[in-house]
Amino acid sequence: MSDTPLDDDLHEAMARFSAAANAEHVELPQIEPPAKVLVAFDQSNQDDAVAMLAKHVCTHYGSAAVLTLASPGLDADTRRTHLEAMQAKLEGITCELAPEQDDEDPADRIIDAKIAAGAKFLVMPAPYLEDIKTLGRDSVGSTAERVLARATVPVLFAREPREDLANALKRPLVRLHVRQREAAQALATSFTLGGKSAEYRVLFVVDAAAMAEAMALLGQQVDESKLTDQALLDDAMAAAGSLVATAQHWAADNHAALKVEFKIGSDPDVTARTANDGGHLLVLPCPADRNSSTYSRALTVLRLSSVPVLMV
Amino acid sequence: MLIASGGETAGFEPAWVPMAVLGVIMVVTYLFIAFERLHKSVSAIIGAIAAVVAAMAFGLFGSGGYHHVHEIVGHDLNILGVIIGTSILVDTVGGSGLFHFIAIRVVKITHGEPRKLFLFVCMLTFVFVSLLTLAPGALLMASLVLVICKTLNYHPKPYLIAVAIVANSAALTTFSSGIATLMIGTAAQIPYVHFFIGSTPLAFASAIIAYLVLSRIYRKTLLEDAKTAGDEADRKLKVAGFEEWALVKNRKIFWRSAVVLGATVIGFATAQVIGVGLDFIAMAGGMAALLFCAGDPEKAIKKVKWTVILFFVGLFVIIGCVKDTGLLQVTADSLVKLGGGSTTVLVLIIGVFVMAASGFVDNIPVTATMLPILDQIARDNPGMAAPLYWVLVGASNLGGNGTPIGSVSAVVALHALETDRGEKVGWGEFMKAGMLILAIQAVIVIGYVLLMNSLGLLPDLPKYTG
Repeated sequence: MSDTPLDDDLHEAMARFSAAANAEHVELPQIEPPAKVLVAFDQSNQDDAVAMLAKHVCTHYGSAAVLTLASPGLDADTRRTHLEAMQAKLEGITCELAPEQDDEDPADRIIDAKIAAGAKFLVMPAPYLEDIKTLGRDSVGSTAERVLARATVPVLFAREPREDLANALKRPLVRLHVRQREAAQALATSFTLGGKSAEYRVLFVVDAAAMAEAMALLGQQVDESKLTDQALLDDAMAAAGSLVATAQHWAADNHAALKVEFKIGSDPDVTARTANDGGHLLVLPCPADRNSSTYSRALTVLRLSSVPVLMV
Repeated sequence: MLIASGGETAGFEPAWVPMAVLGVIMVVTYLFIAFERLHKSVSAIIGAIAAVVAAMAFGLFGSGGYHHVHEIVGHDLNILGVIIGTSILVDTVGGSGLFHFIAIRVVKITHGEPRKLFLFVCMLTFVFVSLLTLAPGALLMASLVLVICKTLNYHPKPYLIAVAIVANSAALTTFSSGIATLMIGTAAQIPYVHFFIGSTPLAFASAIIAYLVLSRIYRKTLLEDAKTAGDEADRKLKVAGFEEWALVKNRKIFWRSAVVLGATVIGFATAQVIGVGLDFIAMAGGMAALLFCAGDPEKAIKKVKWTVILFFVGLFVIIGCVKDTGLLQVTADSLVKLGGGSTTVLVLIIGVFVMAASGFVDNIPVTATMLPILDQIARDNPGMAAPLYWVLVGASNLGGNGTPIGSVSAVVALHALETDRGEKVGWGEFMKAGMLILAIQAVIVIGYVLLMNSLGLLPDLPKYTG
């Protein structure tokens, strides 16, 4: 970004002060605990993980669980038997089974069950194939994609079945974009779900390639020699001031542990790698515009993640 | 011809040819440093190579041969240790947002009122430079000023010139506040607490002078700022909206950084009592920061000003070689003769010479050259030691106030103004304020040293008085 080391140092220090000077007050929305959580199973190897996640969510929120089995082509008894088995795993949680449905399409079953139950939170599997791990990490299945496309509430996806899922929920990783409208909602949801005892990481990923691509689309020339890692990080830090301050204020008020990180690289790769390596619960803001590039990047992160992902 | 070898200079006869040759090498190197015909580190190292070649040709290193060069550098290794250690510490602790947090908190107290802001910029500069040394302290303040002025639509020039000048006063505050102070304190083995009598009052007095003169000179600009910056309530709202938490990535690291910095400052103050060097404290502080404050060793170590380290190594070697010729002893003797044996006259000569020279050449070579000269004078006249060293402390740090190239803080602040606003401060404009301040500060420094000396209140230097 500059000609001398002094310029670099100056740019870095100014970026920090700019973050403070330009920070705008961001109000964290009040998140009401959902009275009901829809828990969708699919008879896959992920059902135990879904039950474990649902139990944590319901216990934390004090919500009732509404259970449904999304798999098509099963008779009522088979469904009931499986759901009762899953209900046993949700010991201590008020559970009800979703009424019988005519829908054959699993995504329709889940959405309709959610609407019928008035659930404000959804827990479901996004297929993670145990035996074909590479393929599994790249796939979330059409059901998950279609549910997410139509969901208007937070959706918590179970991915790789793991023993230590409860630990992941105590360590949320919230990936934010500086100018994303859903960022505050994602932070608030994460704080509400994790509570004061969780250890939060807030991650901003600076994707130089995506930025250059976006600027090229706008017809703006980019001098790539000036897009040094440090310069990009400095600019991101300056722009992220409002969200960083909001998160730190909440953490300070609630005596919670929270750290903010800025990383350079391809957004989906860096986000998923950070979440997978750290065994986190990954929280992603999900834009309302399902045709946007941000939404498709969020889906890519979901595909690459082996940890539970909460799409807000 | 008897040449003093390996620093043994007692009872020698001057060897004029080596003196002349090494003296010329030193002066030419200083000219290159002053006029920046080459990078100053390159000038210093080339000068050192030339000095070593000449010294070996004249047999100045005695039986030890080239090994003597390592002894010269080793003698001042503590200064290099302090620079490296504090650089790592400041970079790592700075990454926590601690300094930026404090700066924004303080700015909020001013509500953006220009005169109050000007006062607080001076005070913050004083505090940061005292704690972090000249270059990082000035850089931090210059960037703060640029951002605040941009946000409030103020003209940054008065504030940046204040940073440039007040920073040099702050370098006098403690043993470890400035490199020149550190060099003098180390060479003269001045106890840390003696600085609170010998130097800290000068730091405060010279900073107050700088503040008063600059606020007078820029009074109009500050008043205009208040008028052009819009509604007072709007300005207050803007400043109240500054968000210091936006700079903090991890509160745990933030508090740990404050503890590590505080412990290092206490360590500096007590180093001599516990029997270790400041380099040990600086290195320990730097490593503690890397360990406990999530420092990135690669980044922090890269941020060490290695050009400055090379500059110092070159300088030490040149001066060591020149010292071996006996030239500095001859200069010391000549100075004493010139002063007619009067401490007052010598204080005046050294004070004025060092201030003038520091304005045009970097104050580090000036200080480094003066130290062996003063050492010689003090050994021969122990009663002169304290006033001469204390006047050197004041003069070497404040001398840079006279010109825009005289100090690191001026170079940083004016470069920041030019880079961010495309605005240059000419020599004339800077000197109009700088020279006036320097003149008053010179009177205060020399007057203070002479007065304290006449009252017997100037702290003695145990190295010379036993």
